[in-house]
Amino acid sequence: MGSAVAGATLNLLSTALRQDHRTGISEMLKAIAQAVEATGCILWQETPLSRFDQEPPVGELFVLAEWFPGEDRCNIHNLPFQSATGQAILSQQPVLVSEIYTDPRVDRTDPFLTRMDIRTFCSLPLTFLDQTHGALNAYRNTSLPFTDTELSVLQELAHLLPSLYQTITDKVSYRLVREVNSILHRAGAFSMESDTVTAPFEEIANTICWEIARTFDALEVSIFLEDPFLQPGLFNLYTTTWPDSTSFTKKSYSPTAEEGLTGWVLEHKKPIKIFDLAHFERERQQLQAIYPRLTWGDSLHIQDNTHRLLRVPTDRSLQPLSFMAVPVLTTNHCHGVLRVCCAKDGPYYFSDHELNLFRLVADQVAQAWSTRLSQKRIEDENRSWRGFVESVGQLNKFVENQVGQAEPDEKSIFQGALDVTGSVIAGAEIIDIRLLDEERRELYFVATRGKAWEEGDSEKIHERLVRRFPVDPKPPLSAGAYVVQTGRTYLIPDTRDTKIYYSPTFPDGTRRMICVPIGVEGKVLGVLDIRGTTERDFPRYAQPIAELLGQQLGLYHYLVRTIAELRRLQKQHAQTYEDFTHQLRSPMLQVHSRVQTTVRLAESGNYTVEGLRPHLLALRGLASKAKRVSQSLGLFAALAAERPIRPKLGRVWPPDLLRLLIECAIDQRSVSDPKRHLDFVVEIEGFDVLRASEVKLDKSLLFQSVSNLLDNAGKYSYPKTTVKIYGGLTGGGRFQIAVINRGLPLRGSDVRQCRVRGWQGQQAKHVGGEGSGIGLWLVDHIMRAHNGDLMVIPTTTEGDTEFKLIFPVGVASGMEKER
Amino acid sequence: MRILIVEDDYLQAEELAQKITEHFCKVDAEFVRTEHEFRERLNDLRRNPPDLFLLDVMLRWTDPIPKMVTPPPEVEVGGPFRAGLRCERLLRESPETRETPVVLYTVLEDEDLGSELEHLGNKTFYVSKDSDAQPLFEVIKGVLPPLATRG
Repeated sequence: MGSAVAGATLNLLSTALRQDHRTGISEMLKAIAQAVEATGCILWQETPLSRFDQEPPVGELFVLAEWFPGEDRCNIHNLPFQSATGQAILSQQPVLVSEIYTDPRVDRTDPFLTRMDIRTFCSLPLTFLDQTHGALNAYRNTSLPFTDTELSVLQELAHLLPSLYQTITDKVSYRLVREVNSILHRAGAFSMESDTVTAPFEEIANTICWEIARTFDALEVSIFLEDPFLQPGLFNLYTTTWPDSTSFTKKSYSPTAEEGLTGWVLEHKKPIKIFDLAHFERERQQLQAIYPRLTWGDSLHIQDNTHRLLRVPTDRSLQPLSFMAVPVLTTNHCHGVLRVCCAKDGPYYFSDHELNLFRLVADQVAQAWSTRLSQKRIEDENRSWRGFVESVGQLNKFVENQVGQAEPDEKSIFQGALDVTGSVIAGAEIIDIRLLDEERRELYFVATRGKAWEEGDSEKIHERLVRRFPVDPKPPLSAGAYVVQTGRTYLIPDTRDTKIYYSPTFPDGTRRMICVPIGVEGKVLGVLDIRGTTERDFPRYAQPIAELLGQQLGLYHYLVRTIAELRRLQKQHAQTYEDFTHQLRSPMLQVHSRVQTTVRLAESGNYTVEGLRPHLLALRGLASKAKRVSQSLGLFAALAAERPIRPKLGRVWPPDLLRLLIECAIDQRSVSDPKRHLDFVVEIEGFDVLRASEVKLDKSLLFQSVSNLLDNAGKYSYPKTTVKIYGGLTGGGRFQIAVINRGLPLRGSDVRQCRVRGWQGQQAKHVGGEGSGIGLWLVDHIMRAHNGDLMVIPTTTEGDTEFKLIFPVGVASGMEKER
Repeated sequence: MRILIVEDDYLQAEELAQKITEHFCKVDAEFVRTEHEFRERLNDLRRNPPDLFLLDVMLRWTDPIPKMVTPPPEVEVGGPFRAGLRCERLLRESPETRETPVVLYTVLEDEDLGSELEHLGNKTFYVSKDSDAQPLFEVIKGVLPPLATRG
């Protein structure tokens, strides 16, 4: 007996050591069967949810592996605990059935026993290394019972079987992990250098799937992966060994949708192991206790389809349809799922050992996929940066071309920038530019891009486009207000995050946004908004690119505005020069011409006083104008060189002042077109106060001021009106000289503006013919130099506009006498 | 002979008309004071053009009145500084006045007008204003049929 056991043991050991495949278990069963001259052997195991220690025991036994000669297979896969085999396990004692037809422990109608013509069998209990219970059964189709020696051999071999099974399993596991690693390394899957990658990832993944399928002898091995560059948030079937498409094979999953077994793994990022999919409905409650909220809609179809795919006649029971799915994880980020289903040959069961092996393989796949994504990300980033640099280069050329135009089209510059943003930043669906108004209180739209602006409710779109957005610093701040106030980028990675304040944005489905400042030298001029509505996150280069674009836009805007301002100033200077030329040369030429005419007349002797009078009047008017303009030029040049006006003050007496005013009035009337019927009147009454009140002023500058006011009155008064000059003390005890006329209106809002250099009222520009808007500016400076004021009273309802020269008054000492 | 003088300074217009009529026989001078008035009379002028247009370059748009006519955009933008050139262009756009001589009579130097002088029609002449009107008379004599001078 000893030698029989030793021989059988040796044979079993050498058989086990030769195996490098899980199905090698069948070879061991063959060796066992041959050692005891059995027809065949079955290795039984209790199902995972069995409770064999309960009273009564719950669960059943299943065929873990088998061997019979030829292609024969056991046509049942389950046994109750009440069976002879079950009794062996429960009692932990071998059970010998010498004659199945007479043994009450055996179901004589069992189709397996009848089909294989089994007459006798023995069942030896064993415990697997994971502490589950099973039995090794040896069957004979003769009535010859097993001898004591044969039973001893069987007992010894049953004792060794679990360890040897583990040995094969470990060997196979090690081989698989090594092989997967080798596949990945050969393909350069862990390298960040794209030129060392020798195969597309799909090909690599497919090779791995087939390697797993060979190892587990599985019908299906599939990998689902998320490619964030193509369909973020969706896990698509990447590769599979599934023989054909079936209706129950879903091609993609979303982790939030709780879609079946694979969906559960994606949502919970945990593995699933199910012993037999065909029993899902029966064991639903127990499964949901292990895997909360687990559901599976395809459970009703699985058996029919598997019969078809495995070509198992429908009258034969199926082996357990074992299923495993593990997440493909890197540091808690789930890239997808690796799953295997249905071993075609024994062992039909995926234990925790297989699950751990599967997790190792999934980790390797995860690392390789993560590397591939990083590579893609870098390539995408590099591509985007290159694209950005090229695009900005083109945009710069465009801007250079635009600023050279007489009227640069700033809108097209902004639109170009939006096109660059859209092409370079993936996921930037809605982009717009808003600028700050002159008062820096509100933002307004200048350019937009994206379907949300082009399609949809046109009324809503228009309403938004014309809206103004206050940048009030009071919290809570909108994105635009925040950016303007702080000069910093405002980021909303996900609008569903309730911790972040955000007011409803346009469009309604905005999921994420970046708002960056448009500015130059730390000054914010506007904002660039970028929004996305899909699951797809902005790439990590989105923010730096957006910020760079914001700076570029700030430069463009500043450049266009500066150039426009320079052109305006240039034009203004050119026009001022032409205007001075015109204002000075015209009267000088006329004076010269009229003097010649007057002298000719005088020399001819053929004249009358009345005939000479108009020439003389014209001469005085023109000479006065020439004096005024030339003095203006001098004052303008001094002020432009930042030299202050220094009046030469002297006390003024009523006759002198009145004479000056009357002469100014006559001079102005001389040059006014008689057809306009303008009259100039000086009211003399109010000037007597100068006898008691000491007013000191520079007469030459007073002449300049009054002449400027009268020149304006002459230009802007309506026909057939009177320009009146009067004087006197103001309510505040100062001395005033006022010019009042009826003509082009001066609004309240113009009161401050009208003394700004270069300002001209809109209508005034069209009736002046000449003038550069410096008249009142000079008068204002002259009056301030006198410690006085230029007071402008805008047009009243009666239609009069009044200009007052206000002088300070000193108390007359009585020492100075009127000359 | 009819000469239309477009000049917004009445003193200059008067003196110019006087000098021309004193110098040439049988010349009648008509006046237009503003660019608006010129445009208002344009159709009439096209139907019955004078023999010569004498244009100042810097012209006001109109006189101040309570309800002023809004000028066209080119006047809004350009202002009075090149009003005379705008009038010259309007004359050249019309077949009836395309060939009528135009003299631009202005205190602005030709350097001030620069490239704008290059775009003028070939019947347009530039004369710088001076107290001596002789250069103007020479141009007028050159472009009109023989005019008798008054001694």
